[in-house]
Amino acid sequence: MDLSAVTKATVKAENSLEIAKYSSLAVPAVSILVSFAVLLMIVWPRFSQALQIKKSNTELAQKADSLKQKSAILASLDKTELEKQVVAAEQLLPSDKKVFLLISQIERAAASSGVLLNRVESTPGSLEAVSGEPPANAPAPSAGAATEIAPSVKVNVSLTSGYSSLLQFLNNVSAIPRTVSISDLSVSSATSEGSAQLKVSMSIFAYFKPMPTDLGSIETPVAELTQSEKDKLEKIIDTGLATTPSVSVPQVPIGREDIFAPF
Amino acid sequence: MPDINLVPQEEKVTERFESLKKRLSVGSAALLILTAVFTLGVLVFFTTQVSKRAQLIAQVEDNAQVINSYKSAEELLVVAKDKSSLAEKVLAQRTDYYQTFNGFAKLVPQGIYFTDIKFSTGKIVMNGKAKSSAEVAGLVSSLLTPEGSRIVSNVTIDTLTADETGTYTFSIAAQSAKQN
Repeated sequence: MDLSAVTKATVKAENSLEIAKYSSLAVPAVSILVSFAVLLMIVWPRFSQALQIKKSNTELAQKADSLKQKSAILASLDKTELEKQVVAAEQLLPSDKKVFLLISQIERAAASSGVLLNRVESTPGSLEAVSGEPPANAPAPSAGAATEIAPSVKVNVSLTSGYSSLLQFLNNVSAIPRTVSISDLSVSSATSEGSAQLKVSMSIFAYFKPMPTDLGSIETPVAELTQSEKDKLEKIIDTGLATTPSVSVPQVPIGREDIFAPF
Repeated sequence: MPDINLVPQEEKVTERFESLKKRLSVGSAALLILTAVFTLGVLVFFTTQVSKRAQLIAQVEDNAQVINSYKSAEELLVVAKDKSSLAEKVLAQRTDYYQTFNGFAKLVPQGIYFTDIKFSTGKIVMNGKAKSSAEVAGLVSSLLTPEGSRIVSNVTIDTLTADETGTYTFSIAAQSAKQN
């Protein structure tokens, strides 16, 4: 009897039994693997993506909110009133040097206060104000912190007056619609023994600000005018200075036959 | 004798195998259910976020359109604000000499007059004459009062001289209170 054939058959049968036994574990093992594969390759990336969308949604919600607020502010504005305020703001801080207008305003302030202007001197340089360009006659740092805030044009003024006229002139200059500041003020008696007549010299800085060239992004929050800013503009509007031609340089007749003949 | 223990050991191995198989089946089923629940949850979460995003984008576009329709008003406001806020800053820093002189006049004794006053770099230099030293003392003490301190600070007497008539000539320097 050939026992080797029986042994082989037995071993084969045992192997088949072992395979059948372990193959019953294949289904749960494969399902675990599939679960992990789904979690790692589909669910987790999608979850991360959803988290990113949530984060960007938070930013979008803030953006939508700020835009809504901005649109509400803009909707509440009175365009006619704003146009008046812009004209007044242009009087307050012109877009360019407007040096002749300034001199004209100083002359008017002098005439209405009774001071005698001895000398008015300015070196305005280029009359075109370019945004970001330093002022043509950039004031020395000694002129005060105000001159560093905005570009300015400087006019040196010398005058003779009585004390009360001087005070009136200083008050008139401060009341000019344009933003001006006085520095290096020197007041001395006409004689060393004291006199009712005073010799005065000062530097008047008149500020200007070129128009903003762009509005910025749509998300840039809109800043409303404060009450004091509104009051200041309202004051200029109320005086009529923002609309009447009195604040412009006076017109003169033009055309001469002999340009060297004295006037 | 080792043959006696063979049967129970076989049974033990089979039992352990069956237990492992059972635990593996339960575990895999639980994992499948968990995966399904998590997948569904993520799907719902993802869909919600995507739909919310679409809504927000629509809101942003709507508001952007509204803002664009008010662009001219915004331009006017930006210009007015830009200029008036800068003017406010300048005006807040400038010295009002009219007020300074008016305030100063109230502090000056009757027996004093000034020959010159110079304001520069936040400094004030005053030269003048006084009937007596008491008048100069009166001026200095006036300048050191709270009212005087609103106009000047760090008062120093640079020179004080008297002539044969008893008239005093003085030079006083001080810091402009506005510039401090």
